[in-house]
Amino acid sequence: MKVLGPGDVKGEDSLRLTFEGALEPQAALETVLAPFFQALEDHAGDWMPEVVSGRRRVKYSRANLWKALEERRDERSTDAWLYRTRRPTLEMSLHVWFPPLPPALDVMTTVQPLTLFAEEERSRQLVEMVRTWASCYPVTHAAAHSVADRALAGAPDFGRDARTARRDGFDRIYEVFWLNVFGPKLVETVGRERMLSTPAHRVEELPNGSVLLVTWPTAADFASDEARRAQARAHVHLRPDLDFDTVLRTLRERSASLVPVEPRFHPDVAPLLSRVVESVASHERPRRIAELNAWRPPEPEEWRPATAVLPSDVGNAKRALEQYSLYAEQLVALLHTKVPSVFEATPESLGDVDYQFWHEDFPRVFERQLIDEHAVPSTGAYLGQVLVRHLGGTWIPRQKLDEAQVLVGNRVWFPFARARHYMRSCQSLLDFSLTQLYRVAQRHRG
Amino acid sequence: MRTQALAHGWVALLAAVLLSTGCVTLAPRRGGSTEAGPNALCAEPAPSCEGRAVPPGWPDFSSSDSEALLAPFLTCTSPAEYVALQEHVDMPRLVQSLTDWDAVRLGSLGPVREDAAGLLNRKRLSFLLHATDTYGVAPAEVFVRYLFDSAHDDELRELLFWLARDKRLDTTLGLMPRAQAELEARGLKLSARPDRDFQPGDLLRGAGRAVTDLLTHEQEKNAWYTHYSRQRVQLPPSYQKDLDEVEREGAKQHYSAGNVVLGSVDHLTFGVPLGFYYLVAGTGHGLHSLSRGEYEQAVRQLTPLALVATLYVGGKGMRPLHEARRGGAGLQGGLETLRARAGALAEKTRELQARLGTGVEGLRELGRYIQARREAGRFVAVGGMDAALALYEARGDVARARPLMSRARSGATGSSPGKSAERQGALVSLVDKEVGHTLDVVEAKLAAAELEATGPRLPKDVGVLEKHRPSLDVPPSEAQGNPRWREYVDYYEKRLGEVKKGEATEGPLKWEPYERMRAWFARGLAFERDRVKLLREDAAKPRAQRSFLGDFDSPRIEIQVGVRKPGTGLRYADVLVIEEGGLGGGPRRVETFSFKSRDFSGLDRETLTARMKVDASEALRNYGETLDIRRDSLQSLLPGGSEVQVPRVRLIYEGGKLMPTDVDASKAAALATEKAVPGVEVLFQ
Repeated sequence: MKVLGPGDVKGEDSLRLTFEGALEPQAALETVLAPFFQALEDHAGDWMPEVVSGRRRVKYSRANLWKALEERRDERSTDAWLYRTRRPTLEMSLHVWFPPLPPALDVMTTVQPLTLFAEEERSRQLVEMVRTWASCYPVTHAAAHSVADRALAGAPDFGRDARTARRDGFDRIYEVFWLNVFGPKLVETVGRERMLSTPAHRVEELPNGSVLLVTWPTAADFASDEARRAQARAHVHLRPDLDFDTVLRTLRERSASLVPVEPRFHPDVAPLLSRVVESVASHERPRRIAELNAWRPPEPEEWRPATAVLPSDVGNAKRALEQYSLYAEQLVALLHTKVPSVFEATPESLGDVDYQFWHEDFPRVFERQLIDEHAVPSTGAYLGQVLVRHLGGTWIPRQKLDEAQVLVGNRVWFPFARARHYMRSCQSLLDFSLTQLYRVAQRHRG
Repeated sequence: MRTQALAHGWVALLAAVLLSTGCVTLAPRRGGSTEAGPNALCAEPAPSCEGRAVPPGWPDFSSSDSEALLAPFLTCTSPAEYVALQEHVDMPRLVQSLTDWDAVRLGSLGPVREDAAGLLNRKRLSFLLHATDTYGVAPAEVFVRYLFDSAHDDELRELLFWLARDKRLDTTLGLMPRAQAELEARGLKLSARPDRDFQPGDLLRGAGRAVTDLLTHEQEKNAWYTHYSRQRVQLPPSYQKDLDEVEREGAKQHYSAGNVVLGSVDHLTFGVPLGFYYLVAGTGHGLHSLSRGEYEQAVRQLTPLALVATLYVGGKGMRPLHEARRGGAGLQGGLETLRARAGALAEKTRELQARLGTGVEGLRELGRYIQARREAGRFVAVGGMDAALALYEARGDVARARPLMSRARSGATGSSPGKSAERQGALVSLVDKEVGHTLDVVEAKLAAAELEATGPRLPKDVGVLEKHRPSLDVPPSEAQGNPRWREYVDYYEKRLGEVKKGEATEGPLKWEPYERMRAWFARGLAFERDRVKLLREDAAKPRAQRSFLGDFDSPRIEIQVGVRKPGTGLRYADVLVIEEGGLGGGPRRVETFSFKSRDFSGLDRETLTARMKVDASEALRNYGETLDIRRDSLQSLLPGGSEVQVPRVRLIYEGGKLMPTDVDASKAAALATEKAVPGVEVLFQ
């Protein structure tokens, strides 16, 4: 069954709900989890799970759910994954831990788009669901918030090194999110009285000693100035060691960095840059777009006017051309499993090649010798082939690869020299992209 | 030309399967003829070559000992071997000589050769009718379900057609609601009208006699042999359990029409009989002598569908190396073999699933394709991973799959990189003594990478390998100018030598996959080199400032340390850290690091979590728990002996663009992995 995941729509924020609760060790799983799913079914509404993934993906039902949990069970844990086939998309994981681990329930839910929770009632339903969960399962910590803003807040490490963070978990109030449930231990760090007097949209003490805190009526407009003020007020109340103005300034900076930026990339490299941007986490995207909007690739210099062409100095031109063609095939061999379009050797394939090398950090990772002896000739030859095939170019072979030229219109281009510049570093893959050289050559074809 | 090459490949592959057994004396190959060779053997692919030989003189058609004729097939450890063994026997004659029940058992091992398939199906029909008459409907239904579960769809269509023609449906299957429901779940209807594309087999092309008449003398022959109790114990445990239930008084209600519970039936039960045979083959124990509980525990992790696809794809290499040592005599040996094999299968299943790249659904679909047609079963049994991927891409259509096969990326299974005879020139460029990448280590790591490498291989046939021997001076067009060509030629020659000596379990990779494997290998080494340097810097810091080695008073970093564990053999731990400082008499702290360079970008969290768990379990198995440290220079630090407890294995992934962009989610996956596989810490760099 095909499902949609939060990665399927790029650049759109999602809501993430995390929940860690304790379980009764002895009870049967179906009994102990029934209230969990009841609350989910009661309140999820239009983001209700449709698919449950056990050994295979099947329609969501309680029966299939128990089956999935049973199928994936091993000695100390089991898990189930819930999805939807349509928008809004949902990815929900449920990990259940058994002795010798402390019996517990870990939930991570991501719903896209976040704008779904612009509606007050939908946000309220979510709060009700979490409230029910937290009343049934003693919570250490639970939170719901924008995925992008969570990342900016440094979740889940909050500035600690990964090991410490994993060992200690959310053991003090590192951040106040839109929705929060603080377990008894966290309540203790603040003091119950103080916590219950936090200025917020909703503060409620739950029967098992944890405290539910919601900063603002809706989850989606967390970045608005009023919501940020509310968030900062609650945060400094719970952390008197923090300064309100500093906290608010940080939050406002986060809001500012999330304001979408319209891409205005240099047209020669726009398709490549769009893909680069797509592969960046959503919270970093606006900043990256702004950077790339400002960036202009240097004008290609690997050319001469046709009048200054270097005449061929090879004895057997046919043999040389065959060699170039073999080099080009090597690139196909190198990349075709990851970039099938490389077979086609079209201008679009050049963009795919550019992106793949960039994605793999190719020049950084591989040995220089390997790159110079292997990657540069094959990339250069491939570029030359595309110029020949699609711009009606002509090879003018030379003994030295760097001097080999392709005549297009009133210019000769040096594809191997370009490839050498290109492979210098990860940044130079963008500065000296194959795509750009092709576009410029196309314009000057005359 | 391409067809020719492919046809040649098929012959070679078949031969390779047989040759791989190592202890075979083959009749001379006669241009791919299928004539029986006198000493053909379905031996065990274990490197130790402990396989039992086919009894001398097998198959002996004069004795009419059905069990003896069948026995060698039951020692096969995979459908690939089963198919290969058939190539050297007069199958029609052999099937003809089997009792009906033994024919049913033969059929449950996988696809029977085309020229014997009609015959086998007729015997199935005979068994079905006979069992229904003599055992009573309820017990017969269990046997019939076993028969159905082990037959391909096209074979069942033929059976149903015959039954319908002779109006025997109502008196047989018509009374068996559960068997019926299972047929329907497979899209097969009890109807006299065959599918449009269906062609009945040879049974009806004969004199057109009624099925029952035709079968009379078969039944007489079987009369002595068809002992219910004997057949009963030859059923896989789950069917035996059903028989138990039938025999108990509750049977009537349970099997009455209208009370068919299919909820628990995995519609793809095809794998049950298959797994039953192949998991215990060669242990010296029929499953009936192993307790059911043990069997079920061992295969709990394997669903029938996983069994089908994996067993067919698995070919050789299904058997873990240590099994040869452990297995052998006694019930305990049998059980250990069973568990080890189930574990290896589970691992193989994960690999196959990853290759298919479509999750469990893909695996299931592949199983369905194999189940649907005998031809598809044979195609995958012979062609392994290549064929499986091609079949999957062609959506079960074998004719379309064949040409795809050469393009398919395949998965190599096992291969034992023998001791290097000569140094490989091009590898020298990867040597970096400073981080412990000596030539020995690079070679060992490359051998491990080759073992896991994806990509088509040449068969393990000296003749074929000699013929395709690469020439140093005349590289193929795609390798011209490639500095690794020389290395490849060396590699090929070395493997050819091993094949000649019977030491290799796999043929060499073809050039292109070799080249691809080398590219990632270089990347992995580069990542490791960086990490080792960083770790050294960490060790040099004051304890409180260290990010990795804070648990050590005075850490000593050793790189590429040979460690041994029962079951995994000698491995090189990327980094081993050992406490060098003074101790109050307690054992020394030892931790190991494993570095992985994998492209996880674009993976969803569920897949990511699953992959991490697999890597973590493997790291723990190879470098965790109790380790036997082999390095001489470390022995002075280990007065209590070279065996140490490793409290923590660090699994370190290359981060950056190779990880999903959602760091929050990746960390959740790492946390879940650590909880699920205690003793392993997962980090991204």
